Amino acid sequence: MGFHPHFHGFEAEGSTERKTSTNVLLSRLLKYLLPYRKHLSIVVITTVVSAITGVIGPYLLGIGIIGRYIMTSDYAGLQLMALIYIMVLMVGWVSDTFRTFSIGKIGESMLFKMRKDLFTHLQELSFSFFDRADSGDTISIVTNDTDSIGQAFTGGVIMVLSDVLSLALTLFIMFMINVQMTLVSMLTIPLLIGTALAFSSRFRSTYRATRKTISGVTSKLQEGISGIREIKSFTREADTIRDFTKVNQQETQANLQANIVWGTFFPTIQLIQAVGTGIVILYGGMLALNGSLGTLTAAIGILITFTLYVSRFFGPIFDLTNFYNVVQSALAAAERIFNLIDRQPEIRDAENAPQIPPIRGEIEFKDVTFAYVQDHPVIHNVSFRIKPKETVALVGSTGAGKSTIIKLISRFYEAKSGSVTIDGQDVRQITQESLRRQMGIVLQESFLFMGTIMENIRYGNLEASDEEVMNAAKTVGAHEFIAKTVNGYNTEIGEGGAGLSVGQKQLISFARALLRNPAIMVLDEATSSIDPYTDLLIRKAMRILLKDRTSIIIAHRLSTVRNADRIFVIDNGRIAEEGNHKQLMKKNGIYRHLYDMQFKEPEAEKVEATRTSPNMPFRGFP
Amino acid sequence: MSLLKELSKYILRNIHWFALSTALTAIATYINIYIPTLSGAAVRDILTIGDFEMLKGLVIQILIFTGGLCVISLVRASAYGNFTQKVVFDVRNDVFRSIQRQSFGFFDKMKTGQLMSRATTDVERIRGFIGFQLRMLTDSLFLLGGVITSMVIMNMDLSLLAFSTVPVLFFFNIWFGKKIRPIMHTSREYFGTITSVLWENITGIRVVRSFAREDYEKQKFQKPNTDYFNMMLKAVKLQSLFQPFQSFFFGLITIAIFWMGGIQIIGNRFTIDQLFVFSIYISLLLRPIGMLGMIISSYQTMAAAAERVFEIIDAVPEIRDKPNAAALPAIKGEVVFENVSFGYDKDKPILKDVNIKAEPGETIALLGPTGSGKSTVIRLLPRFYDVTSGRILVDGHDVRDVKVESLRKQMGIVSQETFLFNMTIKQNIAYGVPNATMEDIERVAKIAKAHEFITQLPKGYDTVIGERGVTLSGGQQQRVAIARALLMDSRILILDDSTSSVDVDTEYEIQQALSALLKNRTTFVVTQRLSTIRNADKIVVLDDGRIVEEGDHESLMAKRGDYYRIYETLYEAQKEALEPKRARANSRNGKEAAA
Repeated sequence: MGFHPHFHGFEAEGSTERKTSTNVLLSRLLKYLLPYRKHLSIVVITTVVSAITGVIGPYLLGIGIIGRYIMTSDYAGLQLMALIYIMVLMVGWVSDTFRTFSIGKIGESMLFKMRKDLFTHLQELSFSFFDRADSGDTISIVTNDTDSIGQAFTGGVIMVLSDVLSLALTLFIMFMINVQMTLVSMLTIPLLIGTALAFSSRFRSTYRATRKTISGVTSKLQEGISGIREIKSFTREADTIRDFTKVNQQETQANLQANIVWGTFFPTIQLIQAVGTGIVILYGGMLALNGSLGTLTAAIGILITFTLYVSRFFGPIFDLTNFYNVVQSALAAAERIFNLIDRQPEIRDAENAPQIPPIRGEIEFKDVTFAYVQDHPVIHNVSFRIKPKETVALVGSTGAGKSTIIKLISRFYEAKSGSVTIDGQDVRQITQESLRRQMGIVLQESFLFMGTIMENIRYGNLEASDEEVMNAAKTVGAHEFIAKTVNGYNTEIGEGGAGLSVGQKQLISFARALLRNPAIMVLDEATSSIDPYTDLLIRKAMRILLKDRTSIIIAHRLSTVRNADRIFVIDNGRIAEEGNHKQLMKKNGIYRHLYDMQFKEPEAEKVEATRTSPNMPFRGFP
Repeated sequence: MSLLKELSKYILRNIHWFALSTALTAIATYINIYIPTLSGAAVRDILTIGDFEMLKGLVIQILIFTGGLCVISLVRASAYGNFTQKVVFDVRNDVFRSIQRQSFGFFDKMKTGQLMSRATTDVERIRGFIGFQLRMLTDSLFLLGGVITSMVIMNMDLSLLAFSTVPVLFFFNIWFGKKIRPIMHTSREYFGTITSVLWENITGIRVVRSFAREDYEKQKFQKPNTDYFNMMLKAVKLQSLFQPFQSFFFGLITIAIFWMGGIQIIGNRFTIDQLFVFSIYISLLLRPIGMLGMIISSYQTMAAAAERVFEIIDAVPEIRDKPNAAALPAIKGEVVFENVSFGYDKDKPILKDVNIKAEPGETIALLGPTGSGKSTVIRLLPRFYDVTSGRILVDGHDVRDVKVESLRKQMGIVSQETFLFNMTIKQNIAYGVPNATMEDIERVAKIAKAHEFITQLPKGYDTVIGERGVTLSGGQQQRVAIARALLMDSRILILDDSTSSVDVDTEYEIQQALSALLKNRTTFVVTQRLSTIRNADKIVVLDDGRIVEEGDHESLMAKRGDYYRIYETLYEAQKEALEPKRARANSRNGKEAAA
């Protein structure tokens, strides 16, 4: 909103192909306008008033003033006309002010509500949506697409209505004054329409070209900056500069093209308008000279009025041709928005679903099969029972199905066949909130939000006191490094957790989970690199986190599984082996193979050889 | 250098386009002022002479002159377009060139985001100003000059009346510009916050759901959404005050002219056709005045943007070749750190009096806690930073005395975080040796244990990786980087391997690849891999910027000092699995003993 030049349609991003019919989309959009009925009526009234006052002006000036005072040398008449003109101006002023304000208010309010509705709805959608949707696209729908609609409304619909009204009124008055001259004046209209349409598509293509080339420049820039260390290490500065110059050149070319299109457009319009004015003067002059327009002075008045009106043809025509583009992109945007709003969350609480009572922590899978994509099951007929307070480790190669099992327990996905029960209750029969409230979930990528460290830890339990937060941090071993930071617990974390090392983020997410004190803890062990000192802290913290509750870990370090009560080896979606470490090693199967892979023999032997004493006490870090 | 001086440097480079454009503007202005007089003559003809032929002639003249004007406008648009685009082209090129020249210290201070914003958004502001506002400025100045002169010649009284309104219009526009700019700026910021919260919410959706924090998130979104709404409402209010008043004021001036002009006509001091021409001049006058107000208030934003851009262009690189630096001849690979001290920040030394000697072909492993300076040591060797005191010698040459390019070309560098470019794998591996043959590329890929997974990709070595291509896993990226360094076949290798991947599948491959990489060259390595450390010819332990221990694995373990402790920690971190049986046995024994 705000300042916009008239040319918008070809700024439309994204595809404008649609599946939904225009009528359906329009009626849904109109529903968003309903709450603003009062403002809308103001808009309608003021638009009409503004159109009328706008059209009266040239009439008063030409025919009224010039025609009148010459005819009558009437000072008083002149004065009267001037005062009327001023009054009309003032009415127009007031009307325009209210109009601009009302349109803006309606537009912004509508967008505010749309954004809010979209965000709220996103909070209800299930993981399956987020897995498949591109986050960039989703964000674009909430920000850019809503904006498109806003622009279409203010810059498009209202403007066009006002233009059409003005144009109609103008032609009406012109016809009232003199039919022949009006007809002659309208000769330029088809030319103007044709020109606008012809250039419209040229504008779009040059605009697209400039967008493409600027994006080329931006990515080369990005690479040249992010990769500077590599570039300097491999002394490739000269080549990099040369590559950049090429894309820079392309961008310049694209803009020069655009310049030429614009540079041709305006003069062409100017020429057409000059032709129009010329026709008016010529034809009008002819009529004037042979007396068809009354006295010569009255004729001049008419001529002047007509030239003023003719010069106003172009604006509305250009807006109208633009309007089509603006509407198309707005409708496409509307379709994307409504698609998102209409999408139903896959996982929904059953009607009147009860809350699950405080969990003891028994988890049971009965013959569960699940597929993300139909006909491609990720886990097959999985059954197991985990006792309360048991620690179970899931191991297996990537894609075997470990994280799927965890997601099914938390009911982020629902099993198509078989059942998942907690304390004997099927998870599908209880509310999601009551279930997750009693679960702690620590994921691989420790995602932290913008905010203070205190706020991030407290995310686990919004009711916790500062002391409780700090205790959680102390218990997991995060307190030391937090205390050393600039503002301690009030240190601000940047977007995505910037400012902290991977290990530190992990510890904070542990504290967050610990604060929750859940009955069931689910942990997906991180594989990313951590320095060995923090690594030890994390391992210590993990042991604390898993104590006294049912815990399920997706383990990537075999060192972690050693401490588990039971280990499930997942292979191709089934539990291939089950037991504790000793038992599984004896089996000499998949588990044993995975274990041996991590520590190749020579390595292990050499390490053994250097240890001076087998019973070295645990040192911690220096 | 002052802003105007800097800008004019670029303007002068393309002055011929600007001159052409200005000359054409002058001609166009003249025509623009002449044409209304023809219309006026037409009106006079109808009123007084009544000669239709003359009327025809005048209309034809109007059309011819308009046609000429159109041609001139077209040529001028092209000329001025060339001017603008070439200036922007030059500025962007210079920005990029300057960035490539800068040393690491520059990038430590200026983050990618900042640099990007300056190189794109700020440059766009410059383009907008030059392309639009500067042009309006020159147009307006010519037009005003011409129009004012003509108006004054035609009718002094009316001109004075018109000019008296000019200040009002002018300052009104400046006022509006001053008010609207901060509002638009703040609203853009709020919009950025909306996008951030949205991005965070979507990216962190699993955390949000896991902690059942949907309501909290909704509240989080409410604030920036509301802030943005309120700010935009302010903008709407401001606009509803501005535009309508401006139209009203234009209308007021027009009617005033007609009124007073009318009185003069009745009093026979003026004629209708003259009034007609005069009214056209008024409309020609008013628009530029409005523009000028806008231009002035947007100048500040442009100036701020331009300043940031020139800051980059004018930045002097810290590391530069000495005036008569010679190229470093082919080296054997002897490296000496002699009493080296260094700090990224002059007052906070990271390295204090460090002495290291590496014979050609030796592997030196650097160990130490975070902040001990081990990564810093390896950044000094390729002269990414200059030492504060002491010196670094390669084959006896001080690195500061030789050409930087010749120094780095003889070093292979594998950094902590692998950065690969948005090109084919082939091009990435050959990055240091652009004209390498496919055979060589495959050879090193095999050694780096990357060949197998590369050939399994859809286009093999021609697969594009990066943003618009395939994303490789961390382990895969690392191996490509190792291949890249292998291809350089340099006598000195710098390896920052301080982050070890725990990806079981690739760990072994990487170990193999690394041991091949380290053979037959002087290597400085920062790593946690026990195998690499144990096999190093020399281990240097740093603490707080000083060398505390030095020697090979056996001798240092025997000392039972810092190295011993570090080794133990690393061992525990990676080898705990072998111990629990014993550790549990010990603790049980311990308990029993204590009991």
